[in-house]
Amino acid sequence: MDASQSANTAELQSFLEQEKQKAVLNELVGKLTDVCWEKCITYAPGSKFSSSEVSCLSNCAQRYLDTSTLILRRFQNMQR
Amino acid sequence: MIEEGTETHEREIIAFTSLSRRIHYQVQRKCGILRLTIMDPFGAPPSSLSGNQPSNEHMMGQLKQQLAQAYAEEFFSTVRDKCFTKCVPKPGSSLSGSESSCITRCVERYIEATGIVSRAVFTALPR
Repeated sequence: MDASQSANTAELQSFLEQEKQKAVLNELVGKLTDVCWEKCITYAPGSKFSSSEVSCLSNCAQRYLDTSTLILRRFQNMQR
Repeated sequence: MIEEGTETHEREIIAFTSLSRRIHYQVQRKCGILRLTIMDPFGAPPSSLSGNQPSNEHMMGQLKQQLAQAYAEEFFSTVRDKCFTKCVPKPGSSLSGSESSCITRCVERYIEATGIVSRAVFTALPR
């Protein structure tokens, strides 16, 4: 592989790496919205979110991440 | 040479696609197109490959576009499910006015909810 080709490959690889990170975040946000929508939006949605719905969505997303961390740690401890 | 490079890209792209099952197919297809363009740019004979290689910008642009479409399709399908469940609990012989306006509001709220969750995630993530 000549120099320009390997530069091309490196550029493509870093591009894919970036897109990969975006895909992970995108997937996470999509998943969390799905789960928290089910938990927090109990009635047919109105023309505006109530403040309790907003804080429910936000708390739900953050606690889901906490839960995920907690369970991961638990699993790591089990492996030892 | 070129094939080796192509395989590296392909492996990267396949690892990348395993992240989301639903966009897997689109990117897999994209990968095929990517491979084709690298192997056979503009249908030129293999000997003149390096001169006619499609630019990275071109490939990255195409992949971005394809991904954006895959994300949009996935989002559409989720919102449709959510709003159908919420707004059309008992489907009648046609979509009523109140069901339609519920769907409109539901779509807006789902987009807003995505924004709220997105901000919550970015605040929570270690930077």
